[in-house]
Amino acid sequence: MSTPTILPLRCPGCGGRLHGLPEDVVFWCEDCHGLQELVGADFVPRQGAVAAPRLEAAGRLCHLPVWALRVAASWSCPDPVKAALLKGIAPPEWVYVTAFALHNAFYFGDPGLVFTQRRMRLERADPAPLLGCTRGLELAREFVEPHLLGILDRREDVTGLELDLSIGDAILWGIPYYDDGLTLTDGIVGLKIPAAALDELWTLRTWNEGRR
Amino acid sequence: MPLIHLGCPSCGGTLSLEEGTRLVDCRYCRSGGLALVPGSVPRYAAALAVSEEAARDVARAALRRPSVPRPLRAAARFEGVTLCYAPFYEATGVRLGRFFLTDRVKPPAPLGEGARADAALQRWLAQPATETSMTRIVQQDVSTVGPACLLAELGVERIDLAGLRRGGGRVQLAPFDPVALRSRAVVFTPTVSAEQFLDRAALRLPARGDETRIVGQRLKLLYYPIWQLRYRYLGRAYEIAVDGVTGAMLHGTAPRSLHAAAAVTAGGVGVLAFGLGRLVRDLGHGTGWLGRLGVADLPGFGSGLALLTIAAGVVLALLGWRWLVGDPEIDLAAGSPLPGNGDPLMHQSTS
Repeated sequence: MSTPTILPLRCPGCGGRLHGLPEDVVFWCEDCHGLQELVGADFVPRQGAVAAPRLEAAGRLCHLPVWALRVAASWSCPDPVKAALLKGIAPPEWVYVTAFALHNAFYFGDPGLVFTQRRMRLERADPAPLLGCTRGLELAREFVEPHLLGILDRREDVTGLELDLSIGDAILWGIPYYDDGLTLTDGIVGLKIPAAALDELWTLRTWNEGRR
Repeated sequence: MPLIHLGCPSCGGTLSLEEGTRLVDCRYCRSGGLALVPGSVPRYAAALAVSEEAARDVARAALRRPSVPRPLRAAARFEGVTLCYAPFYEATGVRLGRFFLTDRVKPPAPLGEGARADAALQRWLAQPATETSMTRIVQQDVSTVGPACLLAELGVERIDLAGLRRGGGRVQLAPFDPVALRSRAVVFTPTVSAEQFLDRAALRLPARGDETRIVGQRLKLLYYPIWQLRYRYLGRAYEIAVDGVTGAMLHGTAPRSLHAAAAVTAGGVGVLAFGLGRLVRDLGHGTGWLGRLGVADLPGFGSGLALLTIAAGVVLALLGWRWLVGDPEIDLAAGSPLPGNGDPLMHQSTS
């Protein structure tokens, strides 16, 4: 694509209006609650769900996107000592990748990495708007191997380790966050991030206020 | 900035977009559209955290120093206060991958004295080091921030935006609304292109064992608020720039008070003249007030004291003169530490 163009924000599935924040690559349909990712100049449907909160915190409830990618992973190492140590670590079924624009994510604690390390299993809740996805599926896949190796690296040096990995289903989860104005607290593990670290939070708040 | 004109895909009406705008609503058919413009850089404005009154207080406080003329110190009046927005580029990404480290290690060297210790040390020196390899998994945020135009009069080189953004606490980003911003502030246009900035920011020193790559690269323009205050003194204009987020003094000048300098110079000349006069009198007559004190009999005493007075007068006069002919203006921001580190025009951060 070399010339400027405008794509209509219409759901290819149901014709409803698509909503998103200015830098989003995944858009939410207000009618069918489906998700459409912009790939090139086309919209591609993506599977989505909203996670039920496990804890409550002060502030307004909103949802921020995190990819969950089902993985089948196994590892081996020629060093028998390392192999024995790594054998005790079971590979996670899901790898989570943060999908919203969080400045300096690894400084505060990347939500996707934290969920992966804690091997979260999310439960579905009622549909809710899901905006703020600035990281598409293809980019999210790039994080799977580093996330997995990062888990192993915390236990044992991964030099010489051979990782066999395949990525299956992908779901874009809407993680509940409580916004108290200064801090956002996730409703799953209670991870806190400063509000100023979210580049699109101002626009998200304005959009949510408009819907209320 | 020039507008981009595109046709609405629903009704064909002309939509005029500011550069960086991505979501549009057609004013004719009210349908929503996603503008895909190659090379478009999204724009944000840093939320203003310092009010005009607070900026005035900062400027007044800066003018309350002894070297500033008294009328200014007592009651500085600002004839113009302008809110400005200076553009900064921010390039971000995530470094992912592996870093292979190779090291040669030996156990600690044996300590001690005597023949046995010497022998142990010799054995240790002859022992070859063991090479160990280690892999580090890298998942690291990287960002580079730099001004998109040089505005020395606003002191943009003193703004460590990368440092402010790193902690996630000081700079809240708001959508860039050009109409709203231009109605109440002066918004500066970038004079550095995105390509020029990215060329300068592409600092990647090759290292052996580095198998990392940067993914998810994004570039954005951040418009940073700065208060500019102007005042006059004796017909001459001066400016002060105050950070609109932190309230720090970024740039400012003030006239230097010459009264003290003139007083010191005159005093020095007076002391010098007094000493010279006494020297001439004592050498010429051998008496005078030193004689009445009874110390004139001491050999060389009168002349010695006069010489000391002359020396003191010379020093004072020279100091005062240097002060008088020095820079007539004071840099109000000098001495304030530059927050953050590194090149003030290009701040990089990793976490």
